[in-house]
Amino acid sequence: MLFRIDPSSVEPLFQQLVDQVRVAALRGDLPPGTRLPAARALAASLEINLHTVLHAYQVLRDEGVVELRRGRGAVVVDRGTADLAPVHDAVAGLVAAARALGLAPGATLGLVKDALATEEAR
Amino acid sequence: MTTTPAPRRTSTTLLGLVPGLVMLGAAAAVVLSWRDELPDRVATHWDAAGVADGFASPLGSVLQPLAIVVPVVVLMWVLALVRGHEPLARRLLIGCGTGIAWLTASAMVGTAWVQRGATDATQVPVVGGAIAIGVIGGLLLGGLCAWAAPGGAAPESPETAPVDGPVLALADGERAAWSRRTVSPVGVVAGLIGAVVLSGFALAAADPWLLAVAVVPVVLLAVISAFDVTVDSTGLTARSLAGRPRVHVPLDEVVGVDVTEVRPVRDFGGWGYRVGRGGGAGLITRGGPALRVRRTGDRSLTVTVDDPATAAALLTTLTNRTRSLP
Repeated sequence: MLFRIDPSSVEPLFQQLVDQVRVAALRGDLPPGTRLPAARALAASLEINLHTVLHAYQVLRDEGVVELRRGRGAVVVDRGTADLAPVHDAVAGLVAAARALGLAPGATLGLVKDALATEEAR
Repeated sequence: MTTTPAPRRTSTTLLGLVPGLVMLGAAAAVVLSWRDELPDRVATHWDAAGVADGFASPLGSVLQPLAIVVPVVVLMWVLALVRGHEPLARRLLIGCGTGIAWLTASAMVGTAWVQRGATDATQVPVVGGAIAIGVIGGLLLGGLCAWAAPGGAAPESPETAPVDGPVLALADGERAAWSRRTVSPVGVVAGLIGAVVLSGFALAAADPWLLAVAVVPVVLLAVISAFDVTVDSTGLTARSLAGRPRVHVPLDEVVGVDVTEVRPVRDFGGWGYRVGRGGGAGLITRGGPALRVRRTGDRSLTVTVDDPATAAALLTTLTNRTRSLP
């Protein structure tokens, strides 16, 4: 898969990696069983610190996106969850609605985060 | 289309032709020096159960293998001179030629050695030890010669013209890398079949040395059946799971990038690291989509890998980024 890192972004580097892998796994671009590049190789390719990549892989493991196995690296987990199509559709609808009303991306994200936090607090 | 001969002709001859011919000549001389001690009919071939089933006169036992192997060694050398533009291809040819010569020379000397003083060649056992020394020594020596062969082509002036083709939208300062593993179903199946067949022979011959010999090619095949293909700011790299062999195209050697469809047998004569029609190198793990890079020095590299379009766009983007700098 394609990994991109923007050092000028306010988002921490490890978070940028986490987001990309998470999205790719959810979209099916990274099918279960896919092995992510070795942390050392990816760090060298992106010219970032090895620990940044390891940090990202650990976060992904904690989220259940990948499994970390000694000698095998990070492998995308088969989540066995149902089809995510309704979520993708709802997201597409949300994006369209926000754009139609001229809502800034940050504001839309804020609303989603707030809704998720409220849900979790219950 | 490649018309110029491959570079590094002297080292190719010194590493790929001379040692092989010297070893074969020496083996022949050694065997013939034992002529008086050898039986009139020398065993030259053993069946799967390790029983001698092929015989020749002492002179014939020397000439037969030479007649087969000398042309093979010469062919490897000629191919390395004519089609060896790609360093890895040249190195493989050099290593194969010298390795095969060592294997043959060991087998010649080993089979003659055990038959000195024997009167009945049908009772001579198969010499697993000599074959093991031949195979393992051949791999080591071939590998050594391949490693010693000088790497890159003759120094080329770096390419400076931008590359055409689809690009990715990368912000200034944004870094990107693409990585994908390509696995050869052919290599995996061939490795399994090879393991079964070779162990079968080894068990039938009840010779533990032969079992050791059976393991070597299977392990090698396993190692080169899967490659990690990476595109990043250093260029295009394909690395086997063992780290070696490794093929690399630096960005400043990239002349053109495109996506192509490979038919392994028709375009490259099979699977593996190969020289295809027109002299371009190919890392062919399977049929189907592939990334092709044209590089300086009339060379090209084709790698079969999924999603080559993304890899091609990134390689074009990164290449042009280095070339737009003042």
